Amino acid sequence: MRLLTHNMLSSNVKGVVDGFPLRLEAEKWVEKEVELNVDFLRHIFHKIEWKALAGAARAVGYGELPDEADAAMLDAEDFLRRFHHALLEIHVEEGALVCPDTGRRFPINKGIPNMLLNEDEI
Amino acid sequence: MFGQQSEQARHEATRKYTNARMILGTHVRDHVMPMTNYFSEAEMHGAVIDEGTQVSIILNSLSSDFIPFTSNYIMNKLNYGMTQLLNELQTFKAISGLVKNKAEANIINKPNSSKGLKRKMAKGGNLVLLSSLRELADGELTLRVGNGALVSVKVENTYGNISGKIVADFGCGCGTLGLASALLDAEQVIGIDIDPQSLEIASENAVDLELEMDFMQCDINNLRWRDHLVHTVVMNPPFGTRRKGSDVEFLAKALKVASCAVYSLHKTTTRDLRYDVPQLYKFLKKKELDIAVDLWRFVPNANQAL
Repeated sequence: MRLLTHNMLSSNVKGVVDGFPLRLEAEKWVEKEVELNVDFLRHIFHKIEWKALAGAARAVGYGELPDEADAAMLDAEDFLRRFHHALLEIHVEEGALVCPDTGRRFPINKGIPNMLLNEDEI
Repeated sequence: MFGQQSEQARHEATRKYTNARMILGTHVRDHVMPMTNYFSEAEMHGAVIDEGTQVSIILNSLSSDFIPFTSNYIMNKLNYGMTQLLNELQTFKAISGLVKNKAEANIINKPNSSKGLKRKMAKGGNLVLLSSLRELADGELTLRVGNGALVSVKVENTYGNISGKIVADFGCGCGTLGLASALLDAEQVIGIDIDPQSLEIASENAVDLELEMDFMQCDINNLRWRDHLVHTVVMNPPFGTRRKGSDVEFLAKALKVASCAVYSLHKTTTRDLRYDVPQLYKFLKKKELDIAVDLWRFVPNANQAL
């Protein structure tokens, strides 16, 4: 699971209103190089919840993202590279996503988060 | 129970399928279909030939250009039913033709598109892996639908909703549509399915094809995503065999999350499916069945730029 996917996902447990972001507990992750696509990054930046991304990046030991970011930073190549790396090059293999409201844990196995709910959670 | 006449007929049919040899350069279907008829005939007259044996007999009767297919089948301990065998054989033929004749030309003429596919083809390695992703460079998809039948679809990529975009594959199954999107240079592809085994196969397919795809196990109906982060949803909703109305639920959800477009592949006859799956399977064994498929493109009302 890439951190981009994490940035899209909210807790889907019944009764949860916000449920975002899910807290990432990463046990194992890998890095895979991806070609830098500046246009994509500039476009997607406005849709990314920055705090959630920076938090998730820290959970996998990547502390290179600033706590706050604004569009002006997109002109700096260094910033783009860090943003790109955090968003697309880190893959969480094992761990869990934890609902911020209920503490419900969604396990991540072999890179695949399991968001299936029990009947009483739907 | 079986008289002399029946025994003779059985003998005759057995002789036919044992002696049948495919002639190099002829169409594989024209060879396999008569053979399945001989098997049926022999069975009708009391013979018992299990499916694995039928597959072996057919593999042994193929022309020499199918040797890579057969060795791959044996080495990887594959286990196809008859319908799948015929599909795979035809796809193998189509792909090996492509590799010989077209792949090189593609590499020279279109340096910017579908790197992954060409890389795989240039290697000429395990071609069967590509079985459900034939000739994508030209925008044609061969899909495996619920019952194992192959359906070819021309995907129009002219709207630019895949390349460089975030694409979600709803109910991804073995990942065909999502992997096709990755081949068309989607920036990020996320496959979602409720079934863990499908997801495992899909992620293996991604590894085999050297493509990046994220996966998530989730019931589409309970999926909670921030809206409009995904650009495009591709899907091939359940073909009405699992639960009525699933198509519509998938579509409603897809239109909610996608900012650009939803591509949905529906079987034309979903609403009055006449055969249940086992019957359909038998039917497929006997003769060709074309399944009409509509590829719908939906655009959300509040379509945002890019």
